[in-house]
Amino acid sequence: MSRKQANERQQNQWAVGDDAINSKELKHIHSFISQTTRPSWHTPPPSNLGEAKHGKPKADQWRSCMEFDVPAAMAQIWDFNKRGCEDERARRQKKLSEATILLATAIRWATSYCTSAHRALQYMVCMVAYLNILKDLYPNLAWLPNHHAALHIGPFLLNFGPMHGWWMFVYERIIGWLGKTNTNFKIGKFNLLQCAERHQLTNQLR
Amino acid sequence: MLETFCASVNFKALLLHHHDMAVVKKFMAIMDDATKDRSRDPLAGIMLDADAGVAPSSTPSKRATRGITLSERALGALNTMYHQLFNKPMPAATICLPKHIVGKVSFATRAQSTRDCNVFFRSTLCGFMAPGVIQFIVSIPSIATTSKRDTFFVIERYAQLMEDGTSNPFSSHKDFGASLWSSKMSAVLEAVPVDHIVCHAILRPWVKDVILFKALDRVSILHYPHFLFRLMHVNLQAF
Repeated sequence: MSRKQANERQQNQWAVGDDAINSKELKHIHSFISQTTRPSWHTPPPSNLGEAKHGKPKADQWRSCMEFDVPAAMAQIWDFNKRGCEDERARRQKKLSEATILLATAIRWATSYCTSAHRALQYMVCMVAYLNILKDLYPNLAWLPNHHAALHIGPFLLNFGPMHGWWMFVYERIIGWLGKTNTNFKIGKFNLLQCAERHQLTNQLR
Repeated sequence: MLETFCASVNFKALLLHHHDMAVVKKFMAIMDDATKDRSRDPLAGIMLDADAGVAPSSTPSKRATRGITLSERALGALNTMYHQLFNKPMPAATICLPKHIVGKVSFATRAQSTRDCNVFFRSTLCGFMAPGVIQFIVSIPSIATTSKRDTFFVIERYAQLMEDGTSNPFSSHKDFGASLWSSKMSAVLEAVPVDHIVCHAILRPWVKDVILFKALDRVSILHYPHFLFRLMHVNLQAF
């Protein structure tokens, strides 16, 4: 979208995707990823992030994207101090960058290995601020179940402790294991419960 | 995670079936079995304070015991630090290591790895968290017991950024944890005990002579000296 078109557009006409980054900015992000020095245990995002070639990113790749690469790249590419916020597009980009940093901060508070009332509150503050910016940018945005579910995480951190104890990656892994299991497409020949009991018994007999 | 989950289920089942102390031995066996392969452990990245002071966790490799010699600057920093800590001159029997493992996290010297040498540490000279590059890892015989060795890191610290025209988009988002530092290094090397190392750092060049750092701390959230607590009004009713 051109700068003139952006300035002429009414506030309530904006939809998700209108502020998408262009191919030049995407190349900047690729060079950003390649220039980043990260510890050996830190999974990098795909070097061609944003292209269809890399397939569906893994959860760990999404996490590393949001942990550093994407918020920092957006802030660096859209250098607001240099450009100023003279037009609508720049103003929206600044808000979008802020929203991304808020989301990254919320994830940081939520996925910390320890938790407390302060951490849960900070998570809620960041998440609510992020959602407020989203609504401000896209007034016609309809809230999705994920937006609603994200606001339950704060109380969960208080009730159940750090997220690593109760997040669903364990079940994701089991689903992946089930998906890879060879079957003859005949229902009822394989009993998961029996399998689990057998596994438990074997362990007890060791 | 799945192994840990299964292990805890097994543990629960054992407790339900047994009422004697032998159950503890079986529990240990299950946990040992479950934690044999720690490479895929989701808790990788945690620095365990309990392990931090245990020097023997780092295995001096063949390369470590030969070839690496301390520079004069590093030796000076070590001597000063050792004297401050123990009020004694540093013993001569020191070993330079290429890397040191704390918990499950490997810290390496710059010569060994350019990725695992960038850390955030508690600087003894400036009194706050700062990013730096590990130049040497030194193992020194412990004063308390002859069988143990203490590990020290000799770190080259990045200089603080002077207040100039560099824009910092993260200044209003301190909790995000990113900060800008000068690419120039401080004049003196700093020697610190292993418990002063906080976590690894992720970094990239920002503008000329400026580097963007972020501490990859998964346990605590670092707050920098210039941290300002910003209260935000939360309106939950809107959702």
